[in-house]
Amino acid sequence: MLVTNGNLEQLILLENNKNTNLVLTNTMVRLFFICSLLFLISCEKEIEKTISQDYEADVVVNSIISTDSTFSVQLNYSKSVYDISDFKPVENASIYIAVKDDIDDIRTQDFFLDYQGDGLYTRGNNPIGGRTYEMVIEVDGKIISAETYVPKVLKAEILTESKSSNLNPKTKQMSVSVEIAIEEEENQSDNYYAWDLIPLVESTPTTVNEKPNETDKVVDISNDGTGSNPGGDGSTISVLTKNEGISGAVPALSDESGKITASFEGISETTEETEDSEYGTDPQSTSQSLNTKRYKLKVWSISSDYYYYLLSVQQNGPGNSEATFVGPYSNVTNGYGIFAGYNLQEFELEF
Amino acid sequence: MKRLVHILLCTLTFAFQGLAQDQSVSNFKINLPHKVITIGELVTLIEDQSDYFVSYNTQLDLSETLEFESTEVGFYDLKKSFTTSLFATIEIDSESKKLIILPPKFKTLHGIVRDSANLETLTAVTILSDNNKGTTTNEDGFFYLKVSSETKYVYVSYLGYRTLTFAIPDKVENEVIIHLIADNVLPDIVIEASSAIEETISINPHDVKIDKESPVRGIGGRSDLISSIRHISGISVGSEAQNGFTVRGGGPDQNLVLLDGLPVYETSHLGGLSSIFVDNIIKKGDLYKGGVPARFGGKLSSVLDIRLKEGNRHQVKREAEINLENFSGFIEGPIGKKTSFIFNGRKSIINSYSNFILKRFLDFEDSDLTYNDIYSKITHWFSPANRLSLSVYSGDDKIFLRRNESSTDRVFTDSNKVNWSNTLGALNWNSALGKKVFIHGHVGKSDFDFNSRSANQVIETSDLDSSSLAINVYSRQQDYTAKLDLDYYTNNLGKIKTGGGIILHESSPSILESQSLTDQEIAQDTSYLSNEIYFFLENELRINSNWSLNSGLRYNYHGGLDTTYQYFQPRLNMHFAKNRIKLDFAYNRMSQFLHLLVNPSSGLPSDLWVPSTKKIEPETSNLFSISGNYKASPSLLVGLGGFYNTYSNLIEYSNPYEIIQVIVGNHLSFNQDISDVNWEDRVTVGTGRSYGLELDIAYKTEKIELNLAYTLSRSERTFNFGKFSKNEIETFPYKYDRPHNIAFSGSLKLKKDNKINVEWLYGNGNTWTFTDNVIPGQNGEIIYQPRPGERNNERLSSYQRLSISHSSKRQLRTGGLLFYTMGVYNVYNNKNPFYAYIKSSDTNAQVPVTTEISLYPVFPQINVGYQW
Repeated sequence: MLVTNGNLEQLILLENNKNTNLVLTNTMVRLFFICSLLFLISCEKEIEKTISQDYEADVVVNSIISTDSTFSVQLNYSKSVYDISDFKPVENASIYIAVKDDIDDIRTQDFFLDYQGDGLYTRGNNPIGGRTYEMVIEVDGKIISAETYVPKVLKAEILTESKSSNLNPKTKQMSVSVEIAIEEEENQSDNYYAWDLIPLVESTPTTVNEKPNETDKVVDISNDGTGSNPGGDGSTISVLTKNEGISGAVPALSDESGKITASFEGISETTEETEDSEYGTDPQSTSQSLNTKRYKLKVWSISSDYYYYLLSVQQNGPGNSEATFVGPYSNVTNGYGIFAGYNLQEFELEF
Repeated sequence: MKRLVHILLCTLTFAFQGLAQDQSVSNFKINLPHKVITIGELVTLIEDQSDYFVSYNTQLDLSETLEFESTEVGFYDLKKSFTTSLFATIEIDSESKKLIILPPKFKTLHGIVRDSANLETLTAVTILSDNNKGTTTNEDGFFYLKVSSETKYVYVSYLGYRTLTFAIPDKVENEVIIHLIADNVLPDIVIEASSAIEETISINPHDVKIDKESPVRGIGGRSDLISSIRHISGISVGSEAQNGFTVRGGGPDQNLVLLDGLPVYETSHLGGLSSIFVDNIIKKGDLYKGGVPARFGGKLSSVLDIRLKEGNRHQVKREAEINLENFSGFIEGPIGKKTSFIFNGRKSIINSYSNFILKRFLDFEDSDLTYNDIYSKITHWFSPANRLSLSVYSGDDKIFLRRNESSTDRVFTDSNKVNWSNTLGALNWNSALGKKVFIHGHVGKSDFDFNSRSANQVIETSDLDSSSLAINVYSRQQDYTAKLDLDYYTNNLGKIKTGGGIILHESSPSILESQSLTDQEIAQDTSYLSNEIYFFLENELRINSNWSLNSGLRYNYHGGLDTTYQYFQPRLNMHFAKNRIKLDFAYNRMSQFLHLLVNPSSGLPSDLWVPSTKKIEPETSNLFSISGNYKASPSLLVGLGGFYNTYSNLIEYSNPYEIIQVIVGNHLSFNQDISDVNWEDRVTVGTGRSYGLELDIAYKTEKIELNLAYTLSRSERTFNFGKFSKNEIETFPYKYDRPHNIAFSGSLKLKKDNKINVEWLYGNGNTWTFTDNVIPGQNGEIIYQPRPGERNNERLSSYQRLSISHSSKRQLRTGGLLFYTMGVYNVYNNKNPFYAYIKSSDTNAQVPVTTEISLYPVFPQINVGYQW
């Protein structure tokens, strides 16, 4: 007997019946559905936080220096994220910069910066590569300090450059690859580098589903090449360091001639349908080939401070309960922000 | 008349002699240097301090010790001590000035205690003689007891079984096999509250109840071992979708869970839906949250020693069970006269309805939520006290969810997959060697395999450009174990347990980023081998009728990855019992060779087991604890305790930036990182401490059973994050810090075989970090900047849940037993947080709102089973 009205009374009446198990089963099937709805619909609860009324602002330093630009320091106050106004500039600071290394001509690099307005302080001198600079800021009765190393001008040469297709037969990916040799700085235990590979020429794509005006792109190469310091234009760049290996397929370290070799690789995209993709099949997928011929390779030699700052900023966010909070790296004492140095070398490549 | 006079004279003569002897006895006094003394020293002192000579048989062991209540000892003190400790008699001859020690008169009893219904051996059964001499059975049901020759009876008692009075024959040569009858076999037997209540709050170890009568139920309505553990004080209630447990402020990775001697690395199915431990196959679970015996090691916080049943040796028993979560089949029985087997298989049925619901209501295009597990064990008895068993467990879980979100300009696809499996196999040999020695041998392998993949893809609708990113995590931990240990029952030093073993660890951790859309196999070309070798010595000594001492020493050697570590770990557990009071003082030092590298930043399930290295030493802990029970009435027992635990060599990532960017972002898999790059440089070593008070109250009558466990505790960690923190050395609340933790359970027996069960849990939520402090980046963008002291400054909402169920069983005409549980899980629909994030209020962007996601709302429990 199939029971369609599985109420408790009927269940009890039938308990000693030989169909007892059947009754229970059918009752459960119906209950399954109801339970499942309750069970699998996740619930949200919102709890309003109390905003602290006694917020105390701190001074934030932003100063990225290089041999090809003059000294410049941006000072602002921190704020609460729920304060919708702009960051307030620090207008009354006294900023003194000095070379920390014990070198003969250091006096030419010790000076105060001039206030330009809107929290910007500058001086018409360029940093010298291979020096460590110390910055002391006096503001609101507090002394804020930071120091950083400005790497020397990068000495690097291209060893090989190639472009390959069908890197992965499943995904039809393509890649461009550049191998360069970088001469390590002496007396530096850790050298840090960042790089970006940028396509300079657009070309006509070959598509299966003719889609006019499409532009080829290379994944991971999102920088348009306008930024001078790594990540300075807000783009995501690749950061690497000698000690942690070089990005790319073959981490190769050489200490024979004080040079390290690096293989930079940009993997091109494909949108071709892949049968065993866990994403399933995209009905609008197309197949493309890349014909980009000219690229710009930018390689930065950066200070360790800058290296950690770039990494940390890329992962910054408000956080959640299941992740360790990733605050930004800072080398500023008694304040926040970054004071860091870099040097840039650019190469134009044609495949 | 003459005869009468003769009798009178004789009586007077004896009386005079007795009086004379009494006088010499009362005059006999010696002073001891201390209360515990060997017989040899005692003989010397008697002969030095009195004019008596001591006469004794050459077979008397002069090195045996005697204990006295004071250092001034008379003849009757001597007599009492000889009788109770050595079962020997001492007599005094005042004429010849002799003290005569007569040879001991005792008898010994050894054997096995079993369940009468299925012949399963029973662990920790109390065997007590009528002159208050006692012992307990070991893990294999074996016991050895020495009693005086005058002893007529022993009483054999065990929770849930009828107490058996056993008459001891004058001469016992062979091993004795005692069969206990379970209470539920004879339904008319009333459990006497006074005998059961004392077992309700056991001090050490905690006997974890898991049977169909338990008032504590899992989500599906079936009794669950891990859920039961949470009703012991000091054990954390946990959080939503967390089926593991934390003990006295430790981490979930710091509990040693053993299944028939093999380590288990994951104890839950489908994110905490239920534990892997099935009620009908588990014989016993012993939880040590302090005073851990020296035979256990390798984890810091606790030991959960779970033993599987051997299987019914009388008849074949079957059971089928189904609930909203899974269905299972169970069978046990004999194979011939000397072999038994047991098997249980379980498979989830969630997929049968979850796919539809997830697709229809939550826009998941594809999903897969499944798990299954199999237990099997076969045991062969060569003799009642000599058996060989093979235990196998295999279980695996699969979670896969894929969802598409479309907007006018792009299609976003989010795909998450988490798979894990446990495979265990153990061969155990247990045998009595003579009357006093019991030996255990074990070889086995434990294989824990975990992999997860989190991927997303964005397709721009304008030009069909797509970008994708996938993070693959792979972690495999294989342990090969071999050990041999033996129990030796001494005459005066109690039970001695000694042995040793070796564990070979093979760790294979990897994290890999890829831009490929397809599932990628992660190359497992590098595994890290390490090993642990240990020896231990334990002693269970009954000092006197009030005090007993369990002491031990463990030597641990950790080797591998170009380094070795050696640790001596003392263990001490002192028991006191008098009248209504029981006290327990414990100290243990533990070490943990494997570290769990906890996912630092992304929220991905990427925790990896890694071995200790030259730079990262094994974790260690020192735990001091005190516990006490007071039996306020035959039905009421109150327990109170406290603990203080310190940890060292704990690890955290010093700069969480690099773990994702360098290890993952630069396409280097983690295993390459260990060998080539020194991952230890990114880890900082710290310390921790936890402390708290524990309260347990148990009330038990024939109809009502109530248990309350409350823990008041704090747990904190201290790390030096160096240049990666504005506040270099930080002390902060541990993620699992729970100041208040309450677990209540109760049952009311309505009528025969009908019970109402109630369970209520409360615990503070996990800690996490939030800051509202922001600074400008290089281009004025907002960067969140935590201030010093803000680490783990937030706390999720408290976890609380009330569950009520009704359980019943009915004997059917067919002879089978139908049982079911129907109830409601999370009765008042408390939204227990699974995780939380911060967002702006919908109505006011300047108001921060913590948004907590919870998984299990009010939910019906239906579990039906049939036993035949």
